[in-house]
Amino acid sequence: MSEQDMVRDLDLTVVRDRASSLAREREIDLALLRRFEPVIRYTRGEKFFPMRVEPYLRRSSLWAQRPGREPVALLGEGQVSPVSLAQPRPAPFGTIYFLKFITPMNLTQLAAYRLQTLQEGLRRRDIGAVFRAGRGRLARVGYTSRFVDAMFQLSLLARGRVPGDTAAAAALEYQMIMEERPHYSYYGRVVDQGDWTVLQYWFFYAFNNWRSGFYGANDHEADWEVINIYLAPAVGNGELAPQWVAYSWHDGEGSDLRRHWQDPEVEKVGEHPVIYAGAGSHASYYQPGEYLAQLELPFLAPLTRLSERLEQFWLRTLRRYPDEGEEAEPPSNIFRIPFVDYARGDGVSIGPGQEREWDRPALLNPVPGWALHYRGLWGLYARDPFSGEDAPAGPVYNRDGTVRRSWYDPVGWAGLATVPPPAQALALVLARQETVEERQEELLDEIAEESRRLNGLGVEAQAMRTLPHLRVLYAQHQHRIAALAARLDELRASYAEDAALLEALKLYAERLRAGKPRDLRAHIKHPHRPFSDVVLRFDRFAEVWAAVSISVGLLTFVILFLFAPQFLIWGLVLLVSVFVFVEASFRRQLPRLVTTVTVLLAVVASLVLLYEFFWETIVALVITAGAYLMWGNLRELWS
Amino acid sequence: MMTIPEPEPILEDGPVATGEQARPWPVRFLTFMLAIQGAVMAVIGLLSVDLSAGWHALLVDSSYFQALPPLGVLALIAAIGFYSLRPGAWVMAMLVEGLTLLFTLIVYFRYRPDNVLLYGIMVYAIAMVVYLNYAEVPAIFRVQPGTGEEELA
Repeated sequence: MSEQDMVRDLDLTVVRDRASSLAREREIDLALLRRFEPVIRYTRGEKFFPMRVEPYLRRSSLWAQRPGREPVALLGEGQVSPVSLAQPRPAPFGTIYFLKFITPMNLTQLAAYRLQTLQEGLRRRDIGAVFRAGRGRLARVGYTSRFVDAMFQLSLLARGRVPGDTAAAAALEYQMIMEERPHYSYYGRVVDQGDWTVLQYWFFYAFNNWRSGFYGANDHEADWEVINIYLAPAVGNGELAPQWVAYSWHDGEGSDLRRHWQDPEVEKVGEHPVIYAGAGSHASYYQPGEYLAQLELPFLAPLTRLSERLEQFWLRTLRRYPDEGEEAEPPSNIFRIPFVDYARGDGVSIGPGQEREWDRPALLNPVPGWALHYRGLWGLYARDPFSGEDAPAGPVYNRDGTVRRSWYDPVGWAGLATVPPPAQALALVLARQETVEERQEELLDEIAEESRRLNGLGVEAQAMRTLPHLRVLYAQHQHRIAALAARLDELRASYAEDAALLEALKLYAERLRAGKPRDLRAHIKHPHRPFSDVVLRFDRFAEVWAAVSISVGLLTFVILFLFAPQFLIWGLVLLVSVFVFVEASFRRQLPRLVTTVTVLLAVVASLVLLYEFFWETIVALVITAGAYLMWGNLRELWS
Repeated sequence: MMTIPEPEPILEDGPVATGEQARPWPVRFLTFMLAIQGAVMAVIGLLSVDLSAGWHALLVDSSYFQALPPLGVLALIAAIGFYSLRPGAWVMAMLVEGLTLLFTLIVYFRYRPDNVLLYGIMVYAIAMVVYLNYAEVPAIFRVQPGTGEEELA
């Protein structure tokens, strides 16, 4: 065998070894993903489920929207594939690539689809599969929110949006895809970040019909959702075990997304966490229920901030704390538009041991070209200024082409960057303890040294005090003494802080050694809770009132304006009063209303008095203050 | 042997407690003030019924004070509620002061009267609102938080 043959054989062996090592890694990743793959429970009436991207791409066309131009088709239906999507396409700045999954139906097709759906429903008598909204979302919020909502609904007529029949057409397309090859699939990715092994489960949906199907905020083609499971070696046996889990909902990030694996809020089927998916929105929740999602409009953001500050002033400065039980209502801001995300979990269930099982997952390690090289939108670009109706980008990117944090930093995305894996926590605490102890020793030496210097300067200053010719030197000494005393004070403060820190570290280390349970939910600042049945105390009349109140108000305003303009102001005052009274009655908040209104009236009356009797008020205040002070001083004298 | 005193009874629908000891100083003071307010408002209202009559026209120069007797009655009811520590008495008192302020403000903005009595009522109601919201007063009409009991007021 020649030397050249030997080298070639050696290279092939290396390549083969690498390939088999990669294949082995993939198998391990796959096994890990499958071991903890989630169970997803949907709400009745859900039409779209997690699927592979290939059939979606086959039915889509690829478009480019160049700045100031009409969109042009780059690839027609049937030409888009994972390979063709990954091709580089140079274009000027500001160009937006997007897929188009649906060609809107004409009226005949839409009618045929509706008829077919109705027939199927009647044939199967599957009334239970139909979504019923229940308590209206508008009944959960106040009038301002309802008014802003009405404006938002009207704005849909003017701004870009996904056409109304698109959801029906998408449902039909998805139905055909499932008839060709029924499947429920997710994309899995295993990431090693720091000491954590993160299992990412990406779910691709053909359509988000939250608005058209479930009275939500938006519709858009394509939807990507993710959940992460964070594994780390367990204390004791060192085996990789789940420690945390993080579900995504409505672009949220940070510690609030994360729950400890042992947290009772995380429901599990064996080792499989359960996700309750929002109807149409596909946002992921830990518990079944109905969640209030609030949309903030960019141009109302300053008003939102202002109202939040006023609310804080009302609650903290004026100490108008909510009464017991009132905190059960999730906080809502009047300038945000309320939407309900129905995650009831009473519909289809997918996952291990469920009525529908997952197909073999597709791996995102290594990252496939369609995910890495295509930075465009995965569905229609509706040119919605609020972006809600635009399709999302793929698993790697945001709509603007930047990389998603959940992709490049899954640990930081869930606020885990400050949390060490449990097996390393004790070692880390002890290491920090050692560092602080060393720092304290150094501080002690420094304090002793500086104290000696300060004593020396003090003695010198004492010696100079009675000698007039040393006046200048004495003054310089005083400056040096002041500076050194300040420095010494700083050192002693640092020492005291470190002592407190050391104490805390020792206590924490003891707790870790003893294996004491810790607060698993301390990191959650804003728990995303569903409305409880206790809070849902509205009857049908209240819901109807919530639905019609804004329209009734507008109508009354018009009638007053046209037919009785002389009573417009008083009429409006009366109208608002009646509205506020009715609403407070429904919410059982009449006592609170009485208090608030009375305090406001007292403020107005005080301003009137100040306006009418400014100087008299000042004189009265001065006299009162003087009398009060005199009374206090005399009491002290006589006591 | 040490004996543990029995807790004060808290009644769900009836008075919070009975007896002079359970009626703290602010409650007694507010009872008195509400009673005075009720009586004065009722008298002013009744006196203003007939403006053509003699001396009281010097004091009351408009007929809008005729709206005061119902408010006076409400204030007297609130005073009785306060005295007997009824659960809803605090809200009732706030309602009375709210209505009184509403009345004075409506009269002020509608007629702009140069009437010292109107401003006097305004000042009185403002002072009452301030004192009713003084931390320890509402606390008397509530149960301690965390006991799981319904709020009384």
